[in-house]
Amino acid sequence: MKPSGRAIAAAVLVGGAAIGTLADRIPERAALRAGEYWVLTGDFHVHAFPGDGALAPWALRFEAARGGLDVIGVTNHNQSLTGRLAEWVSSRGQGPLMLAGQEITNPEYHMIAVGIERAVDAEQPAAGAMGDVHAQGGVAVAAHPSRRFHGYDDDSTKALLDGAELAHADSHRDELFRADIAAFFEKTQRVNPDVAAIGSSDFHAMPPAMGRCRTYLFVRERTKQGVLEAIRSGRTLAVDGNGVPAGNPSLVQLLGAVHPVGRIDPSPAWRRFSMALSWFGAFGLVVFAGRRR
Amino acid sequence: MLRRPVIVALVIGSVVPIMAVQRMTLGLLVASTISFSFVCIIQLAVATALIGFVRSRRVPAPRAIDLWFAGHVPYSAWLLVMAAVIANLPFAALDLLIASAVIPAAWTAVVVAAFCRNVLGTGRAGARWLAFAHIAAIWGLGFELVALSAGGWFQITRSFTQLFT
Repeated sequence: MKPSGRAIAAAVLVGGAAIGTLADRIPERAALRAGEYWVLTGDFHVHAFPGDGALAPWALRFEAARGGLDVIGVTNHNQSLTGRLAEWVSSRGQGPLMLAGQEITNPEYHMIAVGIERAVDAEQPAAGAMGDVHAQGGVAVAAHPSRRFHGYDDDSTKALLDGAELAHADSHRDELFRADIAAFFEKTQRVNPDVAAIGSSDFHAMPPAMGRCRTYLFVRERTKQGVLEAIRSGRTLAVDGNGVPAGNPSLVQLLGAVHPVGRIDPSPAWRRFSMALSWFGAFGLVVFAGRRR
Repeated sequence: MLRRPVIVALVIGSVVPIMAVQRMTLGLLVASTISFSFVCIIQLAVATALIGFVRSRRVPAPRAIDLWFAGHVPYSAWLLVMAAVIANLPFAALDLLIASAVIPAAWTAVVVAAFCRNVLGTGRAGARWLAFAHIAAIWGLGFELVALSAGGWFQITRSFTQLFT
């Protein structure tokens, strides 16, 4: 019996995915130390499904591991359900730590809240939102604080921040934005010297990849509490897409020769081949969907 | 009856990992197909309601539902093309995605109008109205979902302002 075009297309799609699975090896990450601290790599601005991200938490965790991340914050816009689901998934099994969060989204500001237990009302000034985040034991980070946002203009509001994004994936395509967030960080540091320098990808459903910009954390313990404490104490460095760390010079010095491993792509040729094969399989399914044998 | 809905779900499930992480594994394929199958479930619900409501239908309901999903070809093709393009870009191309969506929307309007005439047995005017209602419903629901997940309608209006300035 001759196989139909549809069956061949389905086989090509599944075959491509199978090749991708076989080529997908995620090496173990070595624990790194710098002085008295463990050095962890984090991305605290990641969106997931269900919501405004493409990947569900269980897939996100593998992607975080491929991205060379030890911890991620799942921060969907104005809801924390997905983040809490991610934290629950993370508590069951090995892999990068996933922390519940929210991108508190207000026309005047966007704020990353990590380590929260329930959603924070976005219909309030930034200072009020930070009060809610802190009351829940979380940390508040100014998200992409460019000139179009005015919610953090007051020095008293800047003083409440635990961190601010100093490296963001968009800064690699927009020089003005890059200058804006650098200027914001400098202004915040003047009134809040311990503000944490944060690097984030703001990953949703398209490139750039998760962890494109990232945060190095100097933690005392490799736990959720250890991560939050490092951010509260400002023991972080923001790392841009070229791997250049920025923030507290003494931490850059402490990092010294320690170079956390970045994104791992052990078989790029096989990855691309499997992706192309799957694409052609899916295309074939569309073409042959209506054909009757 | 479910052959084409399953194919649509598989196409969406393939496109999502290619676009998002430029990688395909069995785990990603299964997870994305299941996650985004809500799109097919909504379409199936709309199709069942519409096909059940129209009495002048010329084919049995299961065949009509199968043909309804044949009308997903424009969006499936568009998704596949966009996935191939976006997977090779260094940055998210939301503006390209939104602007290019006009093509499958217009193509789908033609397909839906033909479906209404040939399958549901409506007249030309009725088919045009139903096609218009379909576009309004799909885009309205789509934007509502995006607004809901992006934090509010102000995010949409801001994106459009940036797109056109």
